[in-house]
Amino acid sequence: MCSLLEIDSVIKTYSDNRILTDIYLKCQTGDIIGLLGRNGTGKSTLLKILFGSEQGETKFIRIDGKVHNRAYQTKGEIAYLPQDSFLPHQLTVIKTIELFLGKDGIQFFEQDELMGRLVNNKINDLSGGELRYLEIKLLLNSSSKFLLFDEPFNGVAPVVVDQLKVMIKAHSKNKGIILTDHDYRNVLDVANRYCLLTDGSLRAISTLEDLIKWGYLPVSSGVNT
Amino acid sequence: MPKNFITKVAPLAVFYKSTLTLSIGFASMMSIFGLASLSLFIQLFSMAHMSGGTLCSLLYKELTLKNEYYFYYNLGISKTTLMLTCCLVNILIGAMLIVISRYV
Repeated sequence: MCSLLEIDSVIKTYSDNRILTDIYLKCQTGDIIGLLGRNGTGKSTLLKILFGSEQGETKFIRIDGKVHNRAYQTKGEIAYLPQDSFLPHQLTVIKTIELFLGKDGIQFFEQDELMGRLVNNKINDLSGGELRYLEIKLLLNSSSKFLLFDEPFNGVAPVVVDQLKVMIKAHSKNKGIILTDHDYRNVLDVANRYCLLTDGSLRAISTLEDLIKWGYLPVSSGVNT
Repeated sequence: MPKNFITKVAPLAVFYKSTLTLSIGFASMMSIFGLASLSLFIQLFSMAHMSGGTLCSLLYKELTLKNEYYFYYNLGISKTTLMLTCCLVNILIGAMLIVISRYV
């Protein structure tokens, strides 16, 4: 079934600096939206407002026609991967999987090449890359219709990034995904729609030249990419 | 047990458990002043556990482990629910201990 997430009229101001000005974004099942933008343009803030963990001055979030004030409170609608690790460090990997996906999920992770040997470890004992991989895989296998990934490839080895991109593309058949990362090549590679957040507005991007035009990429970078 | 009950209660139990070290530590320190009698010791422990202990553990979470709240958000549990559960369970345990202290 195709689901639709719409966010409209998002306004957010931090100490007299309006970073989000009347944002509109639509995401449906099958979409992988690459959200690009320079530092401090409000990408993470926009994702948090969408998720419901942060409030905007105004915002209007609708999932399948139903309006949500805090979307995360309706389980199975939306999940969010923050920039930094969010798994409780005192838990074991196996307990975390059980809490997130139920007992059925454990077997699935035991068969995983990277996670299989780590299921009995504590979250605290995982490396940054292993932790990121676990977090992304948990969210991809959750029942959420929409996933928001804030810098998913940060601190992950290139070979694992490739695995993650394959997984993200495969799961997008049943989910809508919005992701942001400063490694724009990975974003361009995995996403099928692109937006640039600049001067508080969201602009649709269709070519690499657009990113240069709006000042996200230096003029020298675009030609050979 | 119904599956929905487990999916809601198990994460709440994980959160509550993670606040216990600090709140029990705080309550134990405060209850040293009541070593003169077992009844006073239990009463001081309960009061400290219910008030300062709860406050300290939640403040510690807020200041150092704020990102972990996203774990619970992703399971559909709000920060208010987590904090209220923690306070209520501590009050319940504290009240039970105070009642017990009357009989020792």
